[in-house]
Amino acid sequence: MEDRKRLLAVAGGGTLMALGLGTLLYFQSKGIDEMRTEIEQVNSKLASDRKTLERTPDLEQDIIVHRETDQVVKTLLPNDQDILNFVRTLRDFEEASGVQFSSIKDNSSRARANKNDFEKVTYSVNFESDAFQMLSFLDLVESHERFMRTPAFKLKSAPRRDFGDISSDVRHSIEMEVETYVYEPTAAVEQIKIDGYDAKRNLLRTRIASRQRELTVLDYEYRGPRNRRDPWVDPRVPANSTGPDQIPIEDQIALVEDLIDRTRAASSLLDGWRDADNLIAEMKSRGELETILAGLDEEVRRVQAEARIQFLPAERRFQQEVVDELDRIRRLLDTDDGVQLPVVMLRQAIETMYGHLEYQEYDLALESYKGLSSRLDMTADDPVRGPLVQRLRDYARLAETVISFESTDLVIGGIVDLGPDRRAVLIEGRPYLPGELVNHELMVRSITPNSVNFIYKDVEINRPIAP
Amino acid sequence: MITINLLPDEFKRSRRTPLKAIAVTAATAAVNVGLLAMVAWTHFGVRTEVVSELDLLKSDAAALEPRIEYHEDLEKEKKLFLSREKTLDDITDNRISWTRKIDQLIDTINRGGDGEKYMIWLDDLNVVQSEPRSRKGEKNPSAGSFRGKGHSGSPNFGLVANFFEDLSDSEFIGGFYPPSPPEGRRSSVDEMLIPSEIFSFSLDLNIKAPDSKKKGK
Repeated sequence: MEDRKRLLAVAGGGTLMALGLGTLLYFQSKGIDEMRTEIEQVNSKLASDRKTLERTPDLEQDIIVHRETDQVVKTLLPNDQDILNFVRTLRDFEEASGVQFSSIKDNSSRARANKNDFEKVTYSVNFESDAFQMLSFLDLVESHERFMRTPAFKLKSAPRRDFGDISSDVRHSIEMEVETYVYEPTAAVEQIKIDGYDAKRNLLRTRIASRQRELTVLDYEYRGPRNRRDPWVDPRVPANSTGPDQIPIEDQIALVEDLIDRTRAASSLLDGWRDADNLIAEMKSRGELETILAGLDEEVRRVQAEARIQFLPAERRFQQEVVDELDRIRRLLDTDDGVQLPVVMLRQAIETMYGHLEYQEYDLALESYKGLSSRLDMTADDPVRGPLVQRLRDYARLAETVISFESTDLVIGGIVDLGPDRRAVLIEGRPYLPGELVNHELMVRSITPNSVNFIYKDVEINRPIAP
Repeated sequence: MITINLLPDEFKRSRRTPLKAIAVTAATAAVNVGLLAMVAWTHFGVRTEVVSELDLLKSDAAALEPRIEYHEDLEKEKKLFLSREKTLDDITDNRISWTRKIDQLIDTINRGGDGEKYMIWLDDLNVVQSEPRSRKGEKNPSAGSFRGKGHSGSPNFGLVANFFEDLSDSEFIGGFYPPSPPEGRRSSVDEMLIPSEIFSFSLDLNIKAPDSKKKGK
């Protein structure tokens, strides 16, 4: 009986112990499972963190660009204090552009475009001006260092006036909205310290500059009216606009057309002169060009002095296509004349002049020289070109002296020949022996049976005498 | 009642542990020893290893924490900047250089040569920039309008078409949708003026929305 009890006790105790150990094992496994889950979570977080940190360098770059751009934004957009100067700035623009303000009104709703930072400020400006003054005003507004824009404007053209008044003092009515934004960051950005900020910023200079360019003011160069017609002015003219002393409109148009054609011909000759590949062509083009320009200058002066062009469209074409174009041609000629002549061209000129002198074509020799003379002064001091220039000038002096000698109309009666050493020449009825002065510039140097050698202005000239 | 065995020892039945008891005891002992071994292995083997791995990972995570905080601070700063720049982009995208546009319009009108190609003048101009929106029946969103009433100094309405053609081919048209074909009305003849016959027309242009402008570039 006792054995049975003992057996039961052993079995019961063993079972209880097993149960205890099983429970312990269960909780231990559960704890381990929980830790493994936690490991998975930490692993996952670590992977996510590492992935996040991979983006840190890019983020740092973005922040650097933003911080640097923010400086530009602060420069571009006025703050509350600057806005006080806004009206003064508009007043300066009024004066600079020539527009005339009739009213200026603050239309700002003071609503922030962004609840944090930007406050829109709008002024409505009414003024009177012509189209080009308005453009000048617009240009000043849009190119100002502070950001300003014109989201709306209206232009009503000035009433049509009589002929003669329409070109001056045209006052269109203009209503323009001028808008800017005040930049007052409300949420202060706490700037995190970025290691090596300056070095990183230097590496990003191109990107920063590009972003800053996107934000800076529009770049447009307004170059003024440039003789253009105001499109808000009715260009029609009264049918009876010409006075008794004025030429009819058709004739004015024809006159301007003629001058335009001649000016275009001068432009073509200018191109031909500049593109000439040899001296002959250059001299020919330059000669023709100077002839046309001289004629045109005279005609233009006369037209302007007599105020022969009254029809405005014709007058504008006359100014743009004749007067301005002639100015342009003259400027180009002056510029090119200031450039040193090439050596090869100087040598070619010497050959040409020498040929003319040899064939006693003194006029042609001088003509050749005139084509170059204006450009020789610049070249004379050059060590290579100087001697060539001097030779050209000597040839020119020779030709001038001969032409001058011929123009003296010296009356030579004949030669009295009493032997090789006893010859005299009869000039103006008086006999002269070799070595005698005819006047202070002319001396008889030698006499042959059929010619006389003179020295005229230091040049020896042989004059044949008919027997 | 108490019973006693009075037989001499040599006659008494020998006393042995019953096999059943031995079996039960052995089985119980084996099970418990096995369980104990498992508990020990789990505790000192598996658990220690897992705890060690977890500690290592936590240590790694703790090491990354300051860098993550730095990254998050940068993100916050960027978010603020982005908000500002978006507003700024909205402002700058809507900016049009009207100096350039009007200058180009004047160039085009003057290109007509006072009647050789066309002679155009305008009575007014009304420019309004607005938030981009699509009107009924219009596919493209418009960011405002550019309107003016014009005249052509010729009885030939074809010259207005010349002007519209030049306008469409010029740089001026950039940023606008193409104009509708020209429509006009012959004004009464005024013999007191040269030219005496003119045509009136409307110049009506819609401004492209900033996105359309970018697409169009």
